[in-house]
Amino acid sequence: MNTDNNNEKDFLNWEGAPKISGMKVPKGYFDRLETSVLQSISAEETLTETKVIPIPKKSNSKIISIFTAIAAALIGAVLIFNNPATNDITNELAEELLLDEWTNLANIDDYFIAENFTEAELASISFENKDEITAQAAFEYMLDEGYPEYLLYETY
Amino acid sequence: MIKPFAFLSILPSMKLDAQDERIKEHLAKSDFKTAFEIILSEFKQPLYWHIRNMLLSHDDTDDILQETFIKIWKNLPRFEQRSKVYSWAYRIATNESLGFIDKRKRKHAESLDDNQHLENTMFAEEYFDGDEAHKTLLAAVQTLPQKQQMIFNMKYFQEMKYDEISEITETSVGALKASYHHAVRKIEDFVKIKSD
Repeated sequence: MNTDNNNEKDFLNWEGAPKISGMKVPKGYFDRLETSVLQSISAEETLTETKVIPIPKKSNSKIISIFTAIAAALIGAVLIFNNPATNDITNELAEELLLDEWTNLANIDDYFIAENFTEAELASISFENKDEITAQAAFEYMLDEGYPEYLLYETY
Repeated sequence: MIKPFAFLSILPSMKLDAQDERIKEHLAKSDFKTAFEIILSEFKQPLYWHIRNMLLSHDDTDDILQETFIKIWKNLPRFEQRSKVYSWAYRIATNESLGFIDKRKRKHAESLDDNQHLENTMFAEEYFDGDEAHKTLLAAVQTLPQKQQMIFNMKYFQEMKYDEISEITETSVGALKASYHHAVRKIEDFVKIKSD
């Protein structure tokens, strides 16, 4: 054993004490280690790079539906309540419809998300398509959802 | 299987010291890739045995060694060169190993006494070919407190100098000598009891 101070008791007072631990490594382990480490580093760096994942069509439409619903509710609220031409009855109807819309939106909770989106879809959600939600899209969505056309034309 | 500690005949500190200068030259030029390649090539064996002596299991050692090198690579650009590269690398390996040991202790705390578990692991380990004396020595080392184990392993198995261990563990040489002395005493007592 190597000692850097001969006055120090560095040796085990044990006859036959092994100088090694008895442990060994698989043959070729150290030869493979460098490649393995470099691969791990490369994989790690690939994982940490920012990736833009394209949104699958299916989830894209779901996301757009949700945001369109929100947009529709907002646009509807602004247009209807700021329109002096709308009478009380129209206002009442609009209020009811908007209330329904907000109720629907409020129901988008964890269960709704879990039921309607796969993990892969959630992982790929990106908001890069938010520009697609236009007033026209909101208008069409409201039509599709059965809002009375006259009301929409009157207030749009 | 290759003979354990074969690297000790060509190693230890003088070789690492020489590599330190080479590595620092590359770091000064921001050539981190070459610096890392030298670290990987030259430190893999000493770091492996440093970790293996602490963890005992080859598979665990392999995982922690990989983690150590990944950390070294990530932190290399921030290495301030106030210490030797190998001391810094050893510190990373030590911290990774101690963190792993803590996790392992928590994992086995409910089911099995940790020392018993470690003994089972090292003797059932297919990468162990020691005889009864080796088993006794390893079992004795396992009874030491963690820091004493580490100091004993570095001094006895890795044949490091006190000032090198001091730099790595950030402990004074005097305290290291005392710690090693206690470790040796405890191991001798363990062996004596076992052989009686």
